[in-house]
Amino acid sequence: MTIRQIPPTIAEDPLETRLRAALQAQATQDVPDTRYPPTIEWPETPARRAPRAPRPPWLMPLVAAASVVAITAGVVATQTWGRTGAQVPAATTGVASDPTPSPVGSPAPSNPAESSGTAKASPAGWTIGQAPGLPGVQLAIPPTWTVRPFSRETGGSPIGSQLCVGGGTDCPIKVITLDPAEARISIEIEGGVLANPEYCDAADGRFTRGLKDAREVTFGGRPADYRHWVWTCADRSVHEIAQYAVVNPVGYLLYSESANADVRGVMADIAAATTLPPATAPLRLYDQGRATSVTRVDGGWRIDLQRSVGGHGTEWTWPAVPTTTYVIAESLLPPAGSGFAPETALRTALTLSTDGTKVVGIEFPGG
Amino acid sequence: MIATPTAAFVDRTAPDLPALYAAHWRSLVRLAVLLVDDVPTAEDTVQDAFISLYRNQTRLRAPEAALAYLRQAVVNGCRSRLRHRAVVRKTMPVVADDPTGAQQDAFDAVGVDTEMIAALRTLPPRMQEVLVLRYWSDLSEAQIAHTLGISTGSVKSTAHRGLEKLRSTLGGAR
Repeated sequence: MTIRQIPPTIAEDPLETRLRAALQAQATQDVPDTRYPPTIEWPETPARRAPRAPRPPWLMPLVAAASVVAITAGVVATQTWGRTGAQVPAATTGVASDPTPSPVGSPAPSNPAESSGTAKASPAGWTIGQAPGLPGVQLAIPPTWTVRPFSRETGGSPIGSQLCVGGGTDCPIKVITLDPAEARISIEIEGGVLANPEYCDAADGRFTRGLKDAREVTFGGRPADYRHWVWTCADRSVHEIAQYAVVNPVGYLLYSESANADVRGVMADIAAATTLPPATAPLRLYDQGRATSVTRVDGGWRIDLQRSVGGHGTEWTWPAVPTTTYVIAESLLPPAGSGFAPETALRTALTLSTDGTKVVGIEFPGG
Repeated sequence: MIATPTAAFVDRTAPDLPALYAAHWRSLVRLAVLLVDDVPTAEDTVQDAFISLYRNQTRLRAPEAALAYLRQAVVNGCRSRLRHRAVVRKTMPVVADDPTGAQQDAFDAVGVDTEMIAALRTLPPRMQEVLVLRYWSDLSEAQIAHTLGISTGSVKSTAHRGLEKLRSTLGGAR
């Protein structure tokens, strides 16, 4: 597609025509036709895509063995284990803060960590340590895996950690902080925040993408939204993305775009055994759903939001989650006299963004 | 040594980056400058987008997807820089904006509709993005939705509200 300027259509009103002309004039003034692109210095080597479905032959036996050892250790162990980053002996697993250690182990590979409210013990042989680029995060690291700082671009500032198989360059799991401005994209857009570019050719309509699984879980001892998306491209390639999103500030994402069953199993263990800093604000940075009640309050409207899951026409209702109360300031809504009726409109599909303490944006995806 | 893309890196599905750069650099910088209102920042953003595409080119399913990727990267980059700018401005001493009015005069001299551009700048960033992508880049609602990661319904309603706010700000002027 070429970025171009076309004449306004017959249906365009004068304001649109004026806006189009103003943008054209401003852009041409700032970047005249006589301005030519500077020489670009391409990086030394392009990044290589991680294997689509990395499944090292030793990984499945390793996970299975770790599960057996961990379950055994969980049943018989009464000792506690440290959280100082040192290697944890297999025979001494347990939870330091819990006098009654509960059995632990790898959950079913595709089963995310269910809600429990607190971080659990890691499987045997794992280490716990300060995560690079994530202050205050005690990250659980599988045996033989390594952890490194993660930045979106080579040489950029770290925005989190990545977990790599062995000492190699295959780093299928990332943990990053959730940028409030990207919260909506991170949580409900198929593919999550790192899906850039998309996994299939955007110009080809023959691919499918969809939400495979969605659950309320925990990550690092805090409530999290779990999503598992599957893309199937026209060339029959399949891409699986799994994501745990802690949505209250400070938000975090545990993420993989190579999320086969083995990787999802490892992610479930990481989610269960990692410890995140406590939430600093009560509201989610992003929420969506339908209001079950709408009440006029001073300066705005109070709603009880029943959360929904999904996007792009794949909305799932989520009746199992209690409603959340938000106050929508009058200033965020269309002005009086515009035909907008809050009592009715707020009961349609809503998306809300907050700063953690108050609603700062509202959208009506249905238009 | 800085290498340029070569056949060793570019497989049959990879885009021709130098050609893309030559063909679309200017229009992408124009898109960026409408979002960040600052030419050096706009150029940096576009440069970063091309570097990012270079690093991720093997993930593209077809060369035709490259421009959509670049556009998305530019919009995301502009948003990121605006956030950074907002933080910096909170921590920097306030400097009077063009007290002589010389800059304003220069704009008027070349016929830019400063009233409209100023009104546009008062809109929320997402609203500005939708309007610029629609009326500058001439993208369809579906393409805007794809670029911004929102639904087409949201694009439609955001554009409608944006135009209404412009109409209101301009006092009914058309």
